[in-house]
Amino acid sequence: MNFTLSLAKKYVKQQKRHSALTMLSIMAAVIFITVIFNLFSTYIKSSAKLVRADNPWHASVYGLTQEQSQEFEKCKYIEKTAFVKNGVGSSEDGYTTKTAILFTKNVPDCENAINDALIAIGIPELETDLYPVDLNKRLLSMEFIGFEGKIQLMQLVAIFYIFVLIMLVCVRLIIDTAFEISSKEREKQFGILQSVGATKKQIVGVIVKEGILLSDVGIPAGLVLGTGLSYVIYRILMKSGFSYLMTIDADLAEQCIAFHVSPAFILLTVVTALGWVMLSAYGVGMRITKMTPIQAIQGNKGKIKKVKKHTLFGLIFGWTGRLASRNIRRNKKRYIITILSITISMTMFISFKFVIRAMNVVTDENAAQYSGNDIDVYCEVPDEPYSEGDLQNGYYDFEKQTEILRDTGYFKNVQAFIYEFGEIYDASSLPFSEEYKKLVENEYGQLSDENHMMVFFVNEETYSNLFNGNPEIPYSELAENDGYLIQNYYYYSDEKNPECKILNAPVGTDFNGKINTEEINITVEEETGLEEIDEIYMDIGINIMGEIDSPLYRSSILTFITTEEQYKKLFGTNMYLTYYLSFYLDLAESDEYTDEQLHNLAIEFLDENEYEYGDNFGNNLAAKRQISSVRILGYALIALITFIAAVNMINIISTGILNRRPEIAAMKSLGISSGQLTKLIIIECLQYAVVSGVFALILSELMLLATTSGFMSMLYNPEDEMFKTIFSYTEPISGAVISVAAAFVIGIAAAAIPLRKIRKESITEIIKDSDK
Amino acid sequence: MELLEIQNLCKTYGSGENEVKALDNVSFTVPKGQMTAIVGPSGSGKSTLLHIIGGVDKPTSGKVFVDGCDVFAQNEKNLAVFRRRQVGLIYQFYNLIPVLDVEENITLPLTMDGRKPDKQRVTEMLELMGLEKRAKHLPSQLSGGQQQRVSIARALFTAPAVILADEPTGNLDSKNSREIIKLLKQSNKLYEQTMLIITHDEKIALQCDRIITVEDGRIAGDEAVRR
Repeated sequence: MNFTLSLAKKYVKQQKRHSALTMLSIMAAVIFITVIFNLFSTYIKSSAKLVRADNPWHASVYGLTQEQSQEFEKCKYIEKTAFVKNGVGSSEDGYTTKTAILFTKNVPDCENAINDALIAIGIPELETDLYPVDLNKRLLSMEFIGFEGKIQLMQLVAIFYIFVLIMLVCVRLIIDTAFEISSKEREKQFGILQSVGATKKQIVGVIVKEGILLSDVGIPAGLVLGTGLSYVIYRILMKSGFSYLMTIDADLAEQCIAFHVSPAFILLTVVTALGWVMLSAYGVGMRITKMTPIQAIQGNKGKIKKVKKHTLFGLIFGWTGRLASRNIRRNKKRYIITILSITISMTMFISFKFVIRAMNVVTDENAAQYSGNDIDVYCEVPDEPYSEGDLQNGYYDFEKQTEILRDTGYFKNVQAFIYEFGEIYDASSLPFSEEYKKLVENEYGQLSDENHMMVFFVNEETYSNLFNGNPEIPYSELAENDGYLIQNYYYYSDEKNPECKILNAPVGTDFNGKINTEEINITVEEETGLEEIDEIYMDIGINIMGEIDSPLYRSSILTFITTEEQYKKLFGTNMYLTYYLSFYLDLAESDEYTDEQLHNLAIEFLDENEYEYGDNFGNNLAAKRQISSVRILGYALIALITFIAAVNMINIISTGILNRRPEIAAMKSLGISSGQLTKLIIIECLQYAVVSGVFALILSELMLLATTSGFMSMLYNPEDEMFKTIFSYTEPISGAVISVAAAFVIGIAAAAIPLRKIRKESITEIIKDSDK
Repeated sequence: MELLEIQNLCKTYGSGENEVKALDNVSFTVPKGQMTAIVGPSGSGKSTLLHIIGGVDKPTSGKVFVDGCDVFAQNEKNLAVFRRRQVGLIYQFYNLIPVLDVEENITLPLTMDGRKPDKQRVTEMLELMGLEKRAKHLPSQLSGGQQQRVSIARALFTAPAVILADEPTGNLDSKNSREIIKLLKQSNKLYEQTMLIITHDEKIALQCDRIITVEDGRIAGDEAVRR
């Protein structure tokens, strides 16, 4: 057998501790990469399936005949077509046939391909526009087809590789550190090998082959464990509702979202890990062989350095602090590698923690914004007109309604809200008189025809609110005249005498109104029912005093404003009033029922009593699940990073202690107590942790600065409260503190076992061993 | 014929006020087959001299010729081969490879050369060193004297032109020390190997053909041993 392979095998077999730690490092790195790749692969595949389930075709062309459709399939870059006719898949332009298309994977540009195909089947070039095309951009992007698909692919790859690059730097450092430590201890042996004639190539060969042998176990084990771990994370995420982030259709989610392991990614993981191992081993081998054999044997690089007399830790902790400082700095290169390695791990921890917090803030904000209460109940317009003073009847009485809903026991904090100018006021706080609680409908969402004119009245306070407390025309002037038009951003539908209809007006005769700046003559038709309220007209003359600009009121509908008294004068007491009385309800907390059961009971009640409502329960549940699943994913990644950092630290600290067995024995022979020795090691761990923590904090803050002053400020307004909350410079500090504390604790734990072993050994035995 | 020629050898560590001159313009020659003791106080540069001659350390200036070949004019690979074939180094603290057994440690230079060791030769060497029953033992399973014998066997196995021993008995009791020197003398006579032995032991020095005294990095004395 080849000398280097034979020696590598012996090293692996006999130096169990080194081999185990190095293998563990390789495994940890592979687990990390595998989890990231598998979750990414699962997401990509599942997203693709979801998109295909929605629409499996790349594009649709409208207006072709069946024959043309069949011809289309024979054209270049067209893999398959399907002809759909008669109302199914009709386009907005009235086409009743469509040809669904699948492109070949190598299509350079989809639109051009369709255009060329249309010409190929005999449609003149100038007429190709007559056949509208719909591209399923989501599917094309997902399958990386065509120009957009390639852009999407490039973006995806770029984002993915930036992430992977950061990850690999971390991973490289772990593997590098493991090899560095393992080889450091055997520097002397490599020096001996060189002194009896081993070439540089042979030394490097031994270390590289060792790496490959360890990878033979470490990589497969890492793949298996990584795949298992990624499956566990996947299951946890699915259980916690992560699928809602991809689709709200639970059945579709079950069909399309599945755990996926990509063979290509497995291969990439193996190649990456093996590559890094060989690179690390090669680098370490080259470093070792740079020394002369005797330097390697004696552990002396021939450099004479000045000893730093005073250190910060020396000032704080006395002689143990001074000794600890010198101990960890005795080998400058190793010190730098150790600090760098721990710093990178800490920076990744701080960054991930930061990202998780940002995601939590955004998710909470979205959840609050879009889901709101569990159920929104709307009390609608009355079935028939009612008279002045009739507000206490039916379910327009908000107090009565509040009581009814409260008495069900299904809801908590039942409170009525009323829409007014798009702002919601608690009904009991409205400044209207008890007798006339007159409310004005917010026409947003109610009316869409610009030919309508809205007439409403306001009291003085509401009027003032419309103009932010500073109306151009005082309320008293409004009271003395018929009224004013409030400015609309879509003022007239037709500048020349548009037809106008007045709402909320009593039944009258036919309408043939027109408008000028001074007078409106309106005719009212016969009432046709509530659902056609916009068809009610009124024959009345209204003096429009002019326009006033409300900073708050914008509408596409012509709007006339007046006082309550003028309104009564103009339209009489026979008024329609439309408003919405709303309840934004959360389900009560019940010991008897689950949330879902209570929700079902509440819906049953509302349906039986013919309430109009918006059910947000599902969305709220989804939002809560999203929040928890995002958190779970984030914490899983943080746990993974912490595990890798811990492996690294344990390797570094424990090996460092064992390397110093002879000098620890020498100190024991000089009389150092167990407590003093422990204190020495604790201070060393503290130094590693604190120094790395400071660097990690600086690095994190610089990254944050680069992020906020860079592209993020293009996406968000730096004055935005959420932006300020997320991108806070104090945030990395807590992460740094946690990571310093964790590194310190892990370091102490890593030192405890070898220290315990050394304490038990005989001083002379250790010194004797070291003389060999 | 001079097998070994040292010309104006200098070795300096550090620089400026930290500069330490381990060797200061050392020159001498050693004929083939001569057994030379190198003596001197601790820190005088003896080990440095030996390490440079053996090609395991580099001089700051000067030349070393072994059998007419300028040792440090060679490239790294040839230097390694030189160490493998032309030189046998014996250290005070054995410096065996802990993962290789006795036989593998002894035949290591040959193995590195890609050559298969002659079984007969291996057996002879093991018998010469009194290690025939320990052939498959690891260094950790041997006594100090046994480990030093393995180290010597390794140095002698390829019958190199020069044997360099840095205090080969420094870590041994008197009985083992005598045996080790006996072995070295045997090899010297048998293979006409040129030997340089660093020693603090006057008795060992007087068994050699010549004594070179090194003090403060310079040759302070060079005399033949009169018997």
